[in-house]
Amino acid sequence: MPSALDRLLGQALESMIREKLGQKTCEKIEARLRQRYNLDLVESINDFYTLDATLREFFSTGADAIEEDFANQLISINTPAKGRHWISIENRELAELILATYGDKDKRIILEVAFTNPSVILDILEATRIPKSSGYRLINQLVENGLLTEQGYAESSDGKKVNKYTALFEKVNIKIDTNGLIFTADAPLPSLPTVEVLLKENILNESQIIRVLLRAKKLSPTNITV
Amino acid sequence: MSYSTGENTMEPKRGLNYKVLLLIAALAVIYQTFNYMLPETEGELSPIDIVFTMSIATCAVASFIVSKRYDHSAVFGQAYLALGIAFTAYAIGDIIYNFQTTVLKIDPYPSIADIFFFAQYPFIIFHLIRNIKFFRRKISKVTIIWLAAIPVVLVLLYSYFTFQQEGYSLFDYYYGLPFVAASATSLSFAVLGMQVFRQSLLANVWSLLAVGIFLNTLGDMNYYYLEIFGLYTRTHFVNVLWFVAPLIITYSLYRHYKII
Repeated sequence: MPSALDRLLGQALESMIREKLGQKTCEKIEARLRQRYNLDLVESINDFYTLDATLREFFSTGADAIEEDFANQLISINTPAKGRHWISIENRELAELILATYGDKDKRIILEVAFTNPSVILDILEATRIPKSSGYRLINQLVENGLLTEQGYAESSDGKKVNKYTALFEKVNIKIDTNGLIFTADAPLPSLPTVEVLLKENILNESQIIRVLLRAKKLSPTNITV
Repeated sequence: MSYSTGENTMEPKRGLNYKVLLLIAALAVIYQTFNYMLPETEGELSPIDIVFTMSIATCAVASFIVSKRYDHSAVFGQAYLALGIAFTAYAIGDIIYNFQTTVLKIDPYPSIADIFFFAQYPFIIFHLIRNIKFFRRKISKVTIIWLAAIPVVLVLLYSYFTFQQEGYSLFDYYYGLPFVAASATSLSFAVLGMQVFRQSLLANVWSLLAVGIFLNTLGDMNYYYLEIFGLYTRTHFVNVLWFVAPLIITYSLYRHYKII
């Protein structure tokens, strides 16, 4: 199972790869991925080392430049003089997903409860008082999108191990600059709000995508306090 | 996660078909043999001229086909479109050149065709830079030095051999200078491209492209040098260089199409 951060970033990466390299090149890469690892493009994004190895086989050191591009268009890591590093979401698709998620009252409550007290799904639903049927659907969506991540286990009444969940982000900072915005037919639409996130500690190390993309940018996750 | 290994890990084919290279070499020999054999009648279109234009047009068509294949990709679509435009401009220049020679019966040097001949270089250079920039972000100082050194040395050689001899036409020297400089610059970027794609699946594609551009540059330098002294004839060896260069580039396009 890919890490939550990889699940989140992977959604935007697929369209970025297809757009950058073109459909035909992606088909060739996918054929090679199937031949070598028995994975398609989406699966290989979730297991990013396989995609990295295949890009290197195709483009040699040129893969560094491609991955650097992906990194730049996906996230940028702010480097304050002291304190923890906030991550700016550069990709529109991802930013919109985060905005939509935190704009949804029920999802926001689930994420807040899970962050404050990592718990099994049943406990989260009880704490949030969201009806179970819609609650399970919302939690599944959050897990699929990578915004809710597994953190440890609890034991159920029959002795089975059950996943506990927590939110991927500790803080989300959304800046909307309304300075000078005049809405007329000719005026361009306002740009997307800036979305910055503070990841839960040590999450960065679990992400294959981040490790590879930061390597392309000559950075290491261990040098970055999150 | 477990991966399937064994026979499935066989690397994709990246090699060249030496039969195709031999065929290109054979075409070059046949071309130059006919070039010598067929009489050079002033004002008449020879089959050699038609074959020559066809080799350039083939390369233009091949570039457009490859460009179409990568229509929506950020790099290859635009880059190969530029290469197609470059060879189209070259082919148009050649057709105008032949039209002026055979229909208008005028000496096509200098000529309006030169605008089209020259137009190929910025488009070829755009093609090369587009590819290089996509796959290599940082270029070292050493690379920048040799990148600049290649055209500088070639222009100096062109100048040295011109002024070393008596009877040169200063106008023709200056007229040929931008062509030589632009052609040499395209060679410089082709060599960088070859370096960037070394060890990748596209290594041979870029080697072929660099060889094609090298032959083109060699032909250009020779031609503009010959024109300074009025020594250019249709049977001259430069024509075979110009004839073979687009064929080699066409083969490189075919390999690109097949590989990725």
